Amino acid sequence: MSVTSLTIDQVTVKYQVSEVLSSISFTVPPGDYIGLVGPNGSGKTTLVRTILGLIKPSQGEITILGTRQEKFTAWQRIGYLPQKLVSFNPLFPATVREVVALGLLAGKKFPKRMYRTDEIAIDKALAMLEIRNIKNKLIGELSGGQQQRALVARAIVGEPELLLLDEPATALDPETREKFFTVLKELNEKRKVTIILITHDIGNIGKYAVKMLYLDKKVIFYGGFDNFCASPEVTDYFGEYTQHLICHRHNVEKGKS
Amino acid sequence: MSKKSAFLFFLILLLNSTLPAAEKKLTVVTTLFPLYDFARNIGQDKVAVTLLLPPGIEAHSYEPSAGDVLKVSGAEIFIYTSKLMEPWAEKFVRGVDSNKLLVVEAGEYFTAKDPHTWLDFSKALAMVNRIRDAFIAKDVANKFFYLATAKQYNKMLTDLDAEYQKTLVGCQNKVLIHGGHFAFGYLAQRYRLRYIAAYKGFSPEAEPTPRNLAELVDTIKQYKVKYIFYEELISPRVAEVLAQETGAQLLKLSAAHNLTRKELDRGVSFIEIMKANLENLKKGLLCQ
Amino acid sequence: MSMFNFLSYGFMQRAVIAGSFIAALCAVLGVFLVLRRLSLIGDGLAHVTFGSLAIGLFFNTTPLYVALPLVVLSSLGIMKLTEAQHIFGDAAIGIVSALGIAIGVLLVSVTKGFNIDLFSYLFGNILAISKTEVAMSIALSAAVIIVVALFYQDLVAVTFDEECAQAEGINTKAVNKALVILTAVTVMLAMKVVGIMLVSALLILPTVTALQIAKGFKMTILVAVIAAVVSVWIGIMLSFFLDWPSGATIVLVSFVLLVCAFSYRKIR
Ligand SMILES: [Zn+2]
Repeated sequence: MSVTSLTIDQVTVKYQVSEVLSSISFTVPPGDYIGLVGPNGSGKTTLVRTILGLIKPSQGEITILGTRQEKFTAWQRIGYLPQKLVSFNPLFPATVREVVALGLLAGKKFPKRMYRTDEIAIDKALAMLEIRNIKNKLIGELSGGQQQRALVARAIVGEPELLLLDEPATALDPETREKFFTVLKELNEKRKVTIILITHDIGNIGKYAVKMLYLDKKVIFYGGFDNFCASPEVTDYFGEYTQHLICHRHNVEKGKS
Repeated sequence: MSKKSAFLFFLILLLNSTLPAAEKKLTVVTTLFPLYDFARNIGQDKVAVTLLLPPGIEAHSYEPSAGDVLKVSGAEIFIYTSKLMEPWAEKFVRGVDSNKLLVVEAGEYFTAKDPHTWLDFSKALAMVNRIRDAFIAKDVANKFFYLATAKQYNKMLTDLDAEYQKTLVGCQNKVLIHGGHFAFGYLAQRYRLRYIAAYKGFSPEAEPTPRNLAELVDTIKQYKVKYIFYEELISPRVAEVLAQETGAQLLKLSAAHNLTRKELDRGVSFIEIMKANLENLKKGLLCQ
Repeated sequence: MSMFNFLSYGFMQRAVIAGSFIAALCAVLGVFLVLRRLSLIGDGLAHVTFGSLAIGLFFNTTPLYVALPLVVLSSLGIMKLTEAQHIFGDAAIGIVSALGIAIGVLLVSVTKGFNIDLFSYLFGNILAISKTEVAMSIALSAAVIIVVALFYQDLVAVTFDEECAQAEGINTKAVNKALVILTAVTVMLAMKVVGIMLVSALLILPTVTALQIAKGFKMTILVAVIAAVVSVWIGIMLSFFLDWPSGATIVLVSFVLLVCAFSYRKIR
């Protein structure tokens, strides 16, 4: 397949006068699993929101699944999980099931009705994240981890080809986090879902992702993890010591598994 | 602060300058239209009367503006009906800082139920006399003029009363159904009519109760009332609904608290309104 | 007058019918408005209506023709202000409603009076509903509820999480506009039928009641509609037997229902 999941070409985003992202370019082939890392304020969330069309770039071009972003309408092929877990109203009276069902809306034409096949898709997503037992509970009554899983189920229920996740694991306890990443890995490996995952946890990134994109207003590094450890640009940016620390930890983890 | 007082001073100057300096008129401010018309008829060219209430505005719960305070502080006489009729007026006049101002409570309130004293013409007569006395107190020079004009006006009121008496004695229907607030208690009492209003109180802002309306509907049906009266200025929703319910027709009955802007521009008088009321009463109550 | 055939009076029938439809209508819209922290929009738009009517009377035209577009514009203004991110919904409503009152008061004073009393024009009464208004209430409720049903999923998505909804390709701006325009038209017309007190109460109280007990979004709407309609029925009945004003009684019943729902949630 020659069609890329995502092509970012010379994208610059400005907030008032200052550049938040300057001249970003990279390509994501189908089936990739990319860990998007970088310090606070490096523009990770801005990049994801720009890809989704929530922010207009001042320059550059974005191509999603082979279509120019301005003309892209097939949003059901994309799943998105925003960063703020509490971007929704905690008093909101929707059940977990109703929240997950919202993820199917993008693919529907007016008037948007739910069909039998949708019910099956919802059940599948609920099962995948192991939240079938709480599907009739109000979202506001759940723990942070449960809420997060419901929102992930919402993001994947439409079986997207490209999944954008903004720090999805922060609200999860270690055990749930482990499960959560297993689910992502399954989606990536079995269903060939392309994943772009923003994370803080640079030390463990290699455990989940195949590639890594280090962002600090511009692309510092993009490529496989092994290359990260050998990259002179990374050494320039981090210093040898930090680079070694990150790579060492990665190697230890690798050896264990 | 000094800016504000300078502004007030300027306004007062402006107000005073509108009066011709040559002949000094007695300046009078009244709250409601009947008082305004009485004062106008008694004072004629010797008095400059201002009606405080802007046209079309509801009288019982009016909120005076800063301009109103200014108007009254420049005046020599302030006339209102009663504490019951214009509860806002008493409080308002206390805020007016003027030692030359004579405040006149022209009406009276014996019953707590109905403050519309001008609708009993014998009581209207007493109101005219109180206004006359106030004019004399402030302007003794024209004492005999005021006595004469008041007498003349009272003659008109007496004639009006006689006409009402004569007309309303021969009515087939003696039940006056009114879709408004309780305003015609005195009038009904004087001419021996049974009076039922949709609103028990006299504030047009209160809500009628369903029992109240049901009683009205029952009475209309029981006495085969053909006409329902509605009040001036206020949108006659309740009267319309009663009419729809019973098949009765609507007739206007004005309590003359205040006029519309059109009426005021046309120079309508209190006596004219009362005569129009009598015509409608005659039609509505089936009088010979 | 018999106490037990109070429904034999036409005005009582009209109160029950029109009242029920308007109650259901307000409850449905109320769920979305309360959850978006726009619950005071009813009161706000009432104040704007006051100002707009004054403008209409000032230019000597049929007030409704001027008021309706102005109220719709103001509701869009409230939306715009809340989208400006630094202004919360309640503050935006406050700004627009203060402006509405100020313009009304100013014009009443500048024009030196009108030919009718503005407030009596503004406020209807549930006991004084004409046949035309009954028909209008039914048509309006049907129209608004159909529109809400057609865009139900979009409305839920936007109310739940605007950012996600936008990323899913939903035209959130259009959905927001549709919601406030529906609200503006509803507030304006319903206010003239049953009065502003009832409209603003029915936009808030049934939803808050439903939020105490409902499990799920559809359930919330259903419970809110039931609470609103039941308040109207019980309120009208009670007001007849107790000889109380109907509008105020309905609001009281609605509040009692809220207290019951709240206590149920506490003891459960
Ligand atoms: Zn009155």
